[in-house]
Amino acid sequence: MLFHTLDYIIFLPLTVYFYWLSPRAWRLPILGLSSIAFYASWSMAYLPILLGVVTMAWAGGLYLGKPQGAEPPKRWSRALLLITLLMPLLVYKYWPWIAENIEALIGLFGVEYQLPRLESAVLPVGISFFTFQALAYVIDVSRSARKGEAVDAHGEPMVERSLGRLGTFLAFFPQLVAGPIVRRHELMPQLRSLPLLKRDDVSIGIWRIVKGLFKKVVIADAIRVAIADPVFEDPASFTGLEVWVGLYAYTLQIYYDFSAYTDIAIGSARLFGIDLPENFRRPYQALSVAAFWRRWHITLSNWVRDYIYFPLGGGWAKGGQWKIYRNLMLTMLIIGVWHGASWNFVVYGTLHGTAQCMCRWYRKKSGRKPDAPAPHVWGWIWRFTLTFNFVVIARILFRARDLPTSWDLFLSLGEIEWLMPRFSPMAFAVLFIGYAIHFTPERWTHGLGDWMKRQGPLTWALASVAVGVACLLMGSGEHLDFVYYKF
Amino acid sequence: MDDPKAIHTTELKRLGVFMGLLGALFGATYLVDWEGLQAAAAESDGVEVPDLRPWVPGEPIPLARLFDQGQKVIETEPGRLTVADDEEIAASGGGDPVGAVEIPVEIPVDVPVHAPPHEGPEGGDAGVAGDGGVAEAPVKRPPPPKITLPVRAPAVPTPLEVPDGALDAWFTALAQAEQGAPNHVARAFHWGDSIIAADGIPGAVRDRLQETFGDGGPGFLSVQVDPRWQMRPGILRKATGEWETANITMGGANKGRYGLAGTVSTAVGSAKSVLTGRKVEGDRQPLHVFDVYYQVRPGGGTLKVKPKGASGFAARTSSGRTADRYKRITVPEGATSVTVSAPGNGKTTVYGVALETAGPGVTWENFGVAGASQASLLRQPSKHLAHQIGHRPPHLIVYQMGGNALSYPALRQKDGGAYTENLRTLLGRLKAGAPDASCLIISPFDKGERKRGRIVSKENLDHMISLQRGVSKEMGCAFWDGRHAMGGEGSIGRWYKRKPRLAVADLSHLTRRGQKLMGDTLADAMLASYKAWRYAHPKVDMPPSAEEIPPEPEDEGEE
Repeated sequence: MLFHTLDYIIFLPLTVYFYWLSPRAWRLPILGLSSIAFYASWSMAYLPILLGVVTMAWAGGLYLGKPQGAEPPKRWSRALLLITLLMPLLVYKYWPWIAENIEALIGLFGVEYQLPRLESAVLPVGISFFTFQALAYVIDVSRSARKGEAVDAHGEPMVERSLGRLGTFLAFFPQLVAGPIVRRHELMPQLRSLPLLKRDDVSIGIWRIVKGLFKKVVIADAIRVAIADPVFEDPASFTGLEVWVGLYAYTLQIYYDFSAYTDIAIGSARLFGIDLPENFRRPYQALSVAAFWRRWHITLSNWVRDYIYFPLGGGWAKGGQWKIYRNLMLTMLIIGVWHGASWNFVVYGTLHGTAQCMCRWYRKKSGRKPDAPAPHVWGWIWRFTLTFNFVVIARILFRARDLPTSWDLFLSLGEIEWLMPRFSPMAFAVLFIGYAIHFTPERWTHGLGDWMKRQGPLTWALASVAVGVACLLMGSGEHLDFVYYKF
Repeated sequence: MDDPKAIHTTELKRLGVFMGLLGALFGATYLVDWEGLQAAAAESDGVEVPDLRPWVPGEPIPLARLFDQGQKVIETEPGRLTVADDEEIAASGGGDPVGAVEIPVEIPVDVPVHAPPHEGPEGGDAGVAGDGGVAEAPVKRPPPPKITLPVRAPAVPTPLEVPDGALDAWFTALAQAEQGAPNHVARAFHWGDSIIAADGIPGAVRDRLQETFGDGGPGFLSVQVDPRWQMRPGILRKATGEWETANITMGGANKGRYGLAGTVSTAVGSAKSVLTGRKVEGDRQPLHVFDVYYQVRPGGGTLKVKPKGASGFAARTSSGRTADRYKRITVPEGATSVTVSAPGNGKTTVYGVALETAGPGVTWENFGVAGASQASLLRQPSKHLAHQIGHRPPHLIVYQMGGNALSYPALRQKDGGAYTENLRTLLGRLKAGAPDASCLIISPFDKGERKRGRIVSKENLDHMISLQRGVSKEMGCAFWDGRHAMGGEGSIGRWYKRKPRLAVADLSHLTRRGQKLMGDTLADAMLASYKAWRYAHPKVDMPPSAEEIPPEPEDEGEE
């Protein structure tokens, strides 16, 4: 069930309606069951995987968070639990790629051997998101258990004894398939208290949903259909200049697509009185690659920072600077491979890792923080141009189907012929408007949200209908999935 | 008001009112007579009124997929079962009765008309003496072959529709090439729009025919084109210097003369263009005939044409009046490239150079121009076009346009009105240049648009195809239903959704893979028809040898 379909437009209000009109004791089960129904709407076949991860995380939490005084679980049992949690992700997402590479490697020695694979290994929707959420929960419980802490800093219990609540935490439908990746301390207390609606929850919720629909249908999908998809699907038919346009278009498309999902997720959750963390902060305005990752997919960046970068030693690693650079490279490599099992993402992660290392080196040299404002306009211009174009060019690896195609696309960027690109004026207009909105000061869109807060239900309804009509008239006319579903 | 419960109650009320209003607004759209509105708008000014109902009968019922997973187990390969949803099934051709054709189409083989008598079971009339002459020896003929078209899903095997004798000239030329007639090149000229300009379809047909009948060379090439169109993969066409190029869709040519391919280049300063054939086993193929099509005009500059390693020619193109000129250079030992240059001492206008091998072989020459339609092709002065065609006459004229004309108001008329008239005129003009040539009309492929979350085929396609089919019969041309070959109604959506995609997102053009597939499907149909024709025409006279052909005047042209 895609967010921008009539299915969801009916499903969400129905769930909200039943949620608030039901007795308090029923609300959590309603959230849990509606989340299961939401996930099952893609494929009933993958529901057992989600339920399996939930059950393993729940049982693992109970096991690792034994009462004080009990013998702490062995290190190997923790490792085994984490590997078990990762197993569906490994089998469905990474094994086909790993097997292919092993076969190619042994093929170099003249041995032909086919490793076993799942017959119908279509990647379950959102598997990377709910697996990472489950891993974070189990690691948090394990860490607190080792410290002998049963509650967190806010007095909330670390271990969740209710399978239903933990299941709702991991499968909460607004953020189930494409994030934000929510951590225990961000959502679990809200699922325990099931808060009432706060002031402006409804207006903000509606505003975020309407904004998300507009971003997805009118901007992201329109650019995708008119520019990005044609260029990346048949690059040989386009000139170097058109490939550049396609690349900028894809860069914008993926931002609007993913941030639209986050908007609708946050907006939907607000209608239940639940706050979800933000995932984007105008990422293409960043003046360094390090700053970019503090603005792009923030919850994933925070996850890898807390569960990979810091445990490796982070920026304070003993043993010299090279270890810090190693940590940065490893972290970015994992971010790259998180997106998909292919050499493209390995190179993508490596590129961003290298850029992060250079940022770190420059920061040490200049003493400037990653997101610090530029000292003068020329400084802003060169830092912005360098960062933005690095991000844009690296997107080739994100979108192209394999490394040779990525390389061909990269080479074609140098073959510029100054001929008018063959995209429709409407496509150019949407591209221009999309970038213009992205580069306006953030407070301007906040102003629009504040205006919505001051309005009443009639204005909200009219605004919703207006956006619905815009989607119908200006959208691509297709229910295109969100790019991050496949991750 | 800071009481959380009071805030909650207020928020909940606002949410309830919002949901009620939204539901009412949605509901109100069902009170509007959308069909009546759309009909009235179409009658008045043709503006399209979109149906704003969130859901209309016939669309999938919202939330229904919660109960119907829309998934089926399909056999993707023998013995390999895969779970696929409805869209994947449709994309694979499985959901479409046309796309799911499994049995190859059989091509009827004509009973030989002028063939030697067939030795039937009773002996028939075998051995009947001729006009008082020597009795012909009985000839044993094999039974008619069973000719079938291969299935290349999701394309649908589609035979050529060939009225009696419609392709005789073309098939005769092919047969002569097949029999190894010296210096013989069978030529096909393919006019079209962007679908053709990309060369995926002509390229696939060319490859298949040249594989069977020999390589006649690249044929006619404009000296400079917009590199995004008129692509000829494998051909080197490197233009440098100050060329200005005009084509039939953009306009701007001197005296409206755009030449054979609809693209004319004028050197306004020093300019050069190098043209070659394709690579054969790593080297550029040797070419033996270089036919230069150029223009003389007031203020014309010098034109130099020189095949590599051979002597060429230079001509002053200045003249009191604009006229077309031609110059044929023959290089018996072969040259791998030809250089066309202008020193910049005036405006030097060149239509192009035809490059051919010594034969025997085939050329399939691509005259596609992006955005072209019958209206833009009619822009060419008829005498000029006929003369350009007639200078080096083709054996087959192929016409494939229509995608850019779907919105012509004339198509609303049952008989096609001006559209049909113009099509007749246009075919007449093309045939005027080569009256003996066969002709083939290829219908537009399926084209689509997005409506309410679905990809639907454009209106008027069926009507246009039936009009083209009618004119084709009337003019004695063969016809190929390209849309049927794609899978008919809705096929563009299926081709677009297929992985890897076969159609691009504009729902008008095909990806390279899609073009290749259509080109191969057309080549299948062409070769099957040829095979059937060949059975009926086992004996084909050889073309006159080079010595029998009257020599070409050195410098002929049309004023």
